[in-house]
Amino acid sequence: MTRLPRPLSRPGSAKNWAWRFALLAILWWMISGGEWASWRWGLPAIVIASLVMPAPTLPLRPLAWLRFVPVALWLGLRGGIEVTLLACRPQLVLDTRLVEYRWQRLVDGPGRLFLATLINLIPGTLTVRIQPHGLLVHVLHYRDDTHTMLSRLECHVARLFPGTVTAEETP
Amino acid sequence: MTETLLNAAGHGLVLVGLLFFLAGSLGLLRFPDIYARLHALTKAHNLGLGLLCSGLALQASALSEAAKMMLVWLLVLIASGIGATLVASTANTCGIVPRQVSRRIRHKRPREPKE
Repeated sequence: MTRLPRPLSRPGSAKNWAWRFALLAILWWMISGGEWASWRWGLPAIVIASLVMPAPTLPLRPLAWLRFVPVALWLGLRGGIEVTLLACRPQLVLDTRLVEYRWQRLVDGPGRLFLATLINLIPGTLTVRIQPHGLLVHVLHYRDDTHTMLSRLECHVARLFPGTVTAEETP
Repeated sequence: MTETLLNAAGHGLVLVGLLFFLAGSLGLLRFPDIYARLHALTKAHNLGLGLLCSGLALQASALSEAAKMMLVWLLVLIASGIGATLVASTANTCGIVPRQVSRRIRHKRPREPKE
């Protein structure tokens, strides 16, 4: 049974608007280099943009995202090092395969898209096709724990996005 | 003193980042098909860019400049992650078959038989 996402705050609510305003303000601060003079016309632009910007369709989980950052960085580092070692070996030895990964927790939506994109940045995997029942993944150098790694990653992503099914409920 | 250390660390990160770029480019040349080459682009190059941006961020004169460097990395990460799937998906639709068999790829030219 699919657990539905918890009801969202109204798109036009002050809380939502404050989140969008804060996000755009941080972006402006980065892009403008923190120059005070730029806020004269930057501030009105941010206010207008935060009013017309579409509200997020899912509730935000800032703490879960913060916890996920070190995991993603670690996986990215491992992925880069693994490819580097494979590319620099004098004799190129690859065990490339196409594997099917069946969805275990995530339901159709942004969570699946995020996982499909994230897979491209972690060690040795590349999303070839997103299917209704799972992902077609290209593995650069197949290892026995490839499926376990993908499953673990799906658990991480499921914590970021609501609307997941529990493992017990999966057939 | 702190500035000197930050500068040295920044230069070190940039240097290591460049090595990852080099390795990624090597993978691009050596890997056997489009799918394997995408791995080199999305992983080694992104790690190289991350280290490069981190190195430049350490040398930045203001916090906003450092944050801008990291924003560049984040945007490239998102773009390359999505782009890799699109390229791989298109290649798959066009019928390009990835190598699925374990194989040892030798780059040495085979000896020609003596006449």
